[in-house]
This record gives sequence, structure tokens and C-alpha cells, in this order.
Amino acid sequence: MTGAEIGLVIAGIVAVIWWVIWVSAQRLDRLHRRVASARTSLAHQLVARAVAALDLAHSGVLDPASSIVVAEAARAALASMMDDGVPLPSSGAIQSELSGTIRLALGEPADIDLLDPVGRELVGEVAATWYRVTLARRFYNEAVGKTRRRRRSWPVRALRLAGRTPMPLTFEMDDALPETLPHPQG
Amino acid sequence: MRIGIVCPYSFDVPGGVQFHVRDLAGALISRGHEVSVLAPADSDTPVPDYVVTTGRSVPVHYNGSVARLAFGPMAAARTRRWLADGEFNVLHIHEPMPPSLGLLALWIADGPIVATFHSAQTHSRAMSVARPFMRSPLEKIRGAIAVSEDARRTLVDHAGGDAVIIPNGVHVNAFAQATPREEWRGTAERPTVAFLGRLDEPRKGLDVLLRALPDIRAAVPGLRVLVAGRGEVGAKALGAHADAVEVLGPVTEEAKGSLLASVDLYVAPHTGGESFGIVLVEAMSAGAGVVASDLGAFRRVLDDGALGTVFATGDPAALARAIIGRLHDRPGTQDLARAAAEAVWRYDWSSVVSQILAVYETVAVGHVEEDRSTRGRWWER
Repeated sequence: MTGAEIGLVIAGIVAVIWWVIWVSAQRLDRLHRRVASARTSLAHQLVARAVAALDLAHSGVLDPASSIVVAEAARAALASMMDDGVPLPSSGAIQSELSGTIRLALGEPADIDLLDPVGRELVGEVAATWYRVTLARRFYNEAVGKTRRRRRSWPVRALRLAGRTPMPLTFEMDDALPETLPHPQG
Repeated sequence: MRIGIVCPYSFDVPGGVQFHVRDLAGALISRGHEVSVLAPADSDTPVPDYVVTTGRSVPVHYNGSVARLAFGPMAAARTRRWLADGEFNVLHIHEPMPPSLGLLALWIADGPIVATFHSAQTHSRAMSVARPFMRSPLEKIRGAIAVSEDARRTLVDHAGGDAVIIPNGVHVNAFAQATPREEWRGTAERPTVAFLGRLDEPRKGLDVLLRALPDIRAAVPGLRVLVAGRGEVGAKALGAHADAVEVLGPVTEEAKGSLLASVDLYVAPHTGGESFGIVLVEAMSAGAGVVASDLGAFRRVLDDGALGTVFATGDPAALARAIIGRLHDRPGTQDLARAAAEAVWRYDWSSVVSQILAVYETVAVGHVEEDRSTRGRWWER
């Protein structure tokens, strides 16, 4: 081979390597942005559910004991979300506690049938926001799973394409919708 | 919201995904959203005015059947233009795996993307071939929906990743209020049983029903079987039972509702490949009793037999026993049908479209924040 041919082969190899790196970096960047928006959405839905629960607790629809407990759990859930004024899903345990508290306070399906229209609307709001929490958490954990798998691939690890972006973690909480809640409506 | 919906299958021929896309678009528009649908269709095929067509589609063998798909530079260019013109808040791609507009849109677009997976396949060579090409585009889907547990499992097994389950929608009222026709109505002496679906497609199971006929007619001599759907039934397949079988040919949506509202039983003898079982839900909405093979999708719709009778898939003797049992117990069959007509409301479009909108909002909310901080919406490669 002449010098020119060797040069051409080396240029080809460099081009292929550059292309692999470029595609990998682009894919990883896309996944990181996806995780970021899924996380924003999850935080948004968790805040919306806590606010809906707080509204329900303050409405006088529930019995006094349930009202106090739900209000406390909702306030704790909201407080745990606020970090420098930006909502962040930081504690699954506190969100799970809110789930359990609402489930207990709502009682049986028959109890919901007894509510007046205002009560039913408030409960419907809790149901709608809760359903969105289950969706947002599914989508967030799915984005995290894909990103973690991508970050274990060789080009990403060898070239530290992830930079300083921390490894994302799944968000675990008890978000099983209570059977008593009306079917999710928009 | 501005919503862009992509349908990979041509509107030239009717099909489950096409009907779903059409009904979803209609339901979203009636709630005040702006909707544009991108789909392949010939220029002379009549389509609703919210459909943007990409022109001719080609019949392609894909995944065990022939589908009319659109691909190539022309389809890609039109998809690109549609995405740029649309400025959608959410892009909803149906069936992103087949090599058609769905895959093209997923390849070109970035941003708040929702995808619905309709099909359930136990194994497919096409999917194994596609797997390495699909991994990167599939990473762009921010909200994945499966229409059934079976469709979700197909996605998990073939592509990895999870999906939320939102069932197919049905206009329950259209079937609940369908007018029965006297000539199709069953009586105690002459009960009627309906079969719907392509007659020449083995997995629809007409053959299983025909082979069960001798046993059923021995117990129920007055039985009438009404068969509706495209395709031919050979005289040989009918054999000595031609007098009990009435072939109606293809029927309109309206006639389908009337048929299901008139008959005593709807029979679904499918042998496989069913992801959801929308006809079962339609029959239940119309108030027909249901006898179906015990495929996973059907068992879930029938709540494991609480809303209808299931029999061992592909077994004519078991099907005969199930049909005879239901026809001999008319009050019991009516009770089941009443319970079923109540239970199907969870598949009504009013509920299904709310769930789909919740997915749109969940996906779009995060994106608005991201938009503000980083970059443009429909960043193209």
C-alpha cells in the first residue's frame, strides 16, 4: 500500500469511530432530556394529586378524623417536594403514605355513592390526578431504565459521554389506585 | 391541544387500527382538540377531512399477513413536511414497529411522542430482524400505550420497555341502541348464533364452528347460524349443514350492530393472534350472549367467564358443549348478557379517550418545562 492508501484507510476508520461516538452522544443526550421531562411531569402530577387531596380534606366532605389525617399527609407530601422552590419527587415513602391515607379515608364504593355532587367532583379530581401519577411514574421509570442500559454500553463508558450527569434512579412508591375511586376521567 | 396522529396502515382497506385511529380522532375533535391524521391512502379513497394522505401504499408481507404500508423517500418527505407544518403539542404514533409511516415519523421527530402498540405476536421473524434497528427509535417514545396485556407482553418481549394498558374504545351506545331485525332474532325453537370476521382466514375459526355443527344440531335441531364477513365459504365446508347456515357476506357497521342486537349468541371461535377482542365488546354492548375461545385476550374481556362462556381453543366438541349449554339455559344466558352490557362501559370511548388524554398531558407537561430551558420543539435530525 502506498502512503496515500494508508492515509485513506486511517481516515475511513476515524470517520466511522467519529460517527459511532456522535450517534451515541446524540442518543444519550436525547435520553437524558427524556428523563428530565419525565421527572418534571412526575413532580407536577404528584403536586397536583397532593393539592387535590388537600382540597378534599378542607371541603368538609370527609369525616373530621379523615380530614385531619389526609390534610397532614398531603401537606407532608407537598413539603417533601419543594427544594429551592422547584418541585422534585424526593421521597417515595411520603407519597406512599398519602396513597394509603386517601385509600382509608375514602372507604367503600358505597360511601362514595352517598356523596353530594361537590364531594363527588372533589373525589373525581383526586382520581384524575392520581391516575396521572401512575402514568407519569411508569413513563419516568421506563425512561430511567432505558437510560441506565444505554449508559452501560461501551462507547458511553469508554468515552465518559455521560459527563457529570448523575446516573438516574427509578422512583418507587405505592401508587395502586383504590378500587373505590371512580374510573379515571379527563 | 394540537395532536398529530400517525396510522401506518392504508385507509384503502378497513382494519382494526384504521377504525381505532378514525374513532380516536373523532372523539378528540368533539372535545375541542385540533387533530391531524397522517395515513397512506389512494387519492380516490374517501377520507375524513382531518386526514393527510401520503399517497399510494404497497401490499407487503409483514408479520404473517399482508398489510398495505407506505415507505420510501416520498413517504419520508411527506411525513417530514406534515410534522413541520403541524407544530403538534403531542405526536401519537400507532404501531411504530411495522416499516411504514409510524416508523418514519418516529425516526424524524423528537419531543413529546406517544405510541400505541396494538398487536400481540408470540414470535415473529420480522420483529427479530427489526430489533437492532428499532432500539434507538423506540427510545424516543415518552409514553407507550398497549391496548391489552397481550400487546404489552409482546412489547416487553420483543423490544424491551414497558407500557400502560389502555383498552381499545367502542361506541357502546351505538351497539346498545342498535335496532334488532326480526329476520335475525332467535326464538326458543329457532335460536340464532352469529359469526363475524373474514371467512377464509383460518385464525378467525369459522372452521371450528362448522365442525361443531353436527353435535349442536343433534341437541338443538332448530339452530340458525348467521355468518357475516368478507370471503367465500365453500359448499364442501358447509356439507350437510348448508340449511342451518346463512351467509350474509360483508355487512355495514350499522347492520353489524343490528345483527349483534338480534341474535341469542355471538360466537368467537378464533384460534389465535388476537390482541384485544373488540368484536366481543361490541357483541356484549349489543346485549348478545358471548361464547369465545379461551385465548388470553378473550378471557380478560370476559372476566374469566363471569361475563360469557369460554371453551378450549380450537376444540369443536368443547365449542358444541358451550353453545348447547348457553342455548338450553336462556335465562342464565340473559343474566350473563345483562352483566356484560354493564361491564363494557369501561371500554366506551368516553372513558378511553379520557385516559389517552391523560397520557398526552402527562407527556406534554414535562416537555413544556424542558422547552423553556433548552431548545426548540421539533428539533429534527
